[in-house]
Amino acid sequence: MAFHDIVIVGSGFGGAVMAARLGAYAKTLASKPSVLVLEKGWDGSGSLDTRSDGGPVNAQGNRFRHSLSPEYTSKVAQVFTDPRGTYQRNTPSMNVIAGKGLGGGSIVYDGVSLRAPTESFEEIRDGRRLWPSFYSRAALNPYYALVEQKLGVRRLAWTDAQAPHSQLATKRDFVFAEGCRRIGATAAPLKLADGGDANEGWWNQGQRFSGRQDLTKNYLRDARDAGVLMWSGCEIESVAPTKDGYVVTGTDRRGGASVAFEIECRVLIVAGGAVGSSGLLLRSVDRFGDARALDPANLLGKQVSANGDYGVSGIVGRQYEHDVEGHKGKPMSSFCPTFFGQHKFVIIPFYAAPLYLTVGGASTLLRPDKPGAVGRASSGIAKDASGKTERDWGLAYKQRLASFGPRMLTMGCLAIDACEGEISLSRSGTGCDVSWRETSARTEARWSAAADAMRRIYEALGGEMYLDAYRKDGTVSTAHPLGGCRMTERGDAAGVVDGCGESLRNRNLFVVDAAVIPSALGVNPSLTIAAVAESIADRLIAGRGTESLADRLSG
Amino acid sequence: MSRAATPSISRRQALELLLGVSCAGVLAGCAPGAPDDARANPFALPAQTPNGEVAAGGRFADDVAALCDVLLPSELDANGKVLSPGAREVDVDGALRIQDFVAIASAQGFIPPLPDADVRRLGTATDAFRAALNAELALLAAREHPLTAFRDLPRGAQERIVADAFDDDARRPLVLVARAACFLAFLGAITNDVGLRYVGFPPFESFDDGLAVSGYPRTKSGRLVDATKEDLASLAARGELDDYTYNRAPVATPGDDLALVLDASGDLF
Repeated sequence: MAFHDIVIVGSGFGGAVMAARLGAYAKTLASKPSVLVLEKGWDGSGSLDTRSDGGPVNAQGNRFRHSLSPEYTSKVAQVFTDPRGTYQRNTPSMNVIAGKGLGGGSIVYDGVSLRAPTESFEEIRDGRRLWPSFYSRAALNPYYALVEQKLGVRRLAWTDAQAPHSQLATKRDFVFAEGCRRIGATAAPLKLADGGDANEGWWNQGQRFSGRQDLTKNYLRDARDAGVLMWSGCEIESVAPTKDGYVVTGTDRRGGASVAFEIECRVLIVAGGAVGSSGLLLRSVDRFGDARALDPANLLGKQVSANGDYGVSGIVGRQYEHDVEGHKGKPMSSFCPTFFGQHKFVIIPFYAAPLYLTVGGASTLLRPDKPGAVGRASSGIAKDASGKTERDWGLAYKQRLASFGPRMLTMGCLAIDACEGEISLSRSGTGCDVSWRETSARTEARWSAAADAMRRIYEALGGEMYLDAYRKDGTVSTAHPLGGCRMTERGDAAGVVDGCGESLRNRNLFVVDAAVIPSALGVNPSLTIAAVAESIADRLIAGRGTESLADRLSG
Repeated sequence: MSRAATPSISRRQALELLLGVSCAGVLAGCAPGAPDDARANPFALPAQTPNGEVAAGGRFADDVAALCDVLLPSELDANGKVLSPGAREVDVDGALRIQDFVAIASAQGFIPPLPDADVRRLGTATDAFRAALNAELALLAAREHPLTAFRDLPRGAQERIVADAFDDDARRPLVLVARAACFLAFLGAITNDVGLRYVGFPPFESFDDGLAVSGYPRTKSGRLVDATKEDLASLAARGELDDYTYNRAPVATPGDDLALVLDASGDLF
């Protein structure tokens, strides 16, 4: 059986940081321990795994394309859903969109890089602080700074008086800011990770998977340079304990074949994202005996946050036609934080028009029947002004797409929700489902306030809010799932792993990714996940507050 | 247009349809034996039409093609010239030819999650899906107007059938998949960018490379700017840059002090 000292499953903001940091440290050790990254998706960068399947490298030196062809999107992203809840009346269901491929979520994200607010670390439930005591905004600030430096995070500006012209917010954001102003709120430029952009920030839909920054251009490149091996196309079925470590069982799908493999390791780091890591451990629970139970408190897959994601779409008035069209400029570059103080949400305008218009279940341009309704209570399709039922097909709909294109503005809120989601093994046992339990009064209050604010922004701009998937279909869609393998204070048993991400009963088995984040953050989570990983790597290497990595590797 | 492009249904199956037998039996009969030539593109459009022209179409090859034109119609002038593209011009057949289209599109969220049984029924072979849909449309058309194919019905009747199908739990998966294929082809640049251009996007810089817009700055005349050699701010100041910004600060909002929620670096406290 093949052996590597450290195996990392997943290569997103958790796995890539751990690969770079532990890989660099491993090079300094006399024993030269080997580090292997296993990733389910492909190597779209074309430079990290020479055996990766995929189309030819394009003119920009990678394999990314601008296409919503399902053949292609299935290589860069994965959707987890709730096949049962979807058909239950008055029950919210959940969709999770996750990146797939070397770079994880970074290959499909928009680079928003905000530090999480202080109070997200102070969330209390059942009398317990959700985060282990090590974590606070102040404690993470040095690690945030490390990540920001590595990713080239900088704050955009409205004018080029103090920033290069290419680092300005877009026309779309200026219109959004005007809408905010008219309802008494304020928009501000976002902090973005755009240091690796091929063209210094002139992002748009055409290059969102290519010329811009992602983890293949920084952390994963560092890991490769440190000698870390990266295997793409490797799907992990389960992990199991051995006398001295773990065995990872999976299938290598490169080269058009499906080759089963088993790899033994001393230190195992699971970093497949909230759904991926939770699913892998759920599939592996039976391979751990009672004494080494993976989930002693029966919390695996539970208390998952959607990070308060709530998206809507609509149109602005004709006077802003073409100013909000999104295919030029950064897809996200401003936000409205005004409501955070009272309602704990921020609003971000963003560009996702083709995707929104295409995805059938969540992206019609139909008005919700009852905009104020909760969950799926507004099911049904509204009548248009003439009393005819609106359709999301046919000539009128096609013409509406053309007339809306230049006026369409999508917005989303991120809020500190109450972690109502759950991850479970799908009935077939080969994948994962996610579900959303009844929305809590706290989450509902925040979403209602956010939906109302977004509606007022559209109306203040002379337009109208259309899509509201939660009101219309009861669908909660998130690209930021958090939790499932929550961190807890060691000895507290209110989670799955300790503050260093180590399994409570399994030495040298770590989870380091979105799955360990115990509360909603209220902002895009990538920076926080990476900062948490930096802090864990730091403590492991130094042996601070936990056994040192060198000792772990030596037995 | 070759009749061979239409997935074949046996005489017995056609009789079953006319007699109102459930399509389940038809599915069972069609799936293994669907002809290879059903994959052929009946419209033979070029992969991309760089000059913006789209080809005029002929008769619909089968009922599915007619259905797609109902879902996403093209507009033609009196001479048959295409005024605005529809399912045919964006090559919906290219989307439907994708192996396991139903399963992948469902997994990717392009259609609402379908019950496992529907995915198994529709997702294993593209030919099976097309045959199933043709059979279903034949059945529905027969109910509307005996012995008339769906593709030969008046547009109003076709629209009624489609609207009813969306409201019918049993048939809804079929039309949802067809709708997804239409709009994926229209807005997803699967085999051409005609639909994106119709809704206002610029042509792809390189369709073969999958590159819609490289993102590199351009002048208003379309010239690519090398930001390492030219000063973007100067170009912008001269009004020569194809600018995505207004380069001006929004008007302040009286009474809303962001310093209460944001620190100096732009993060929430």
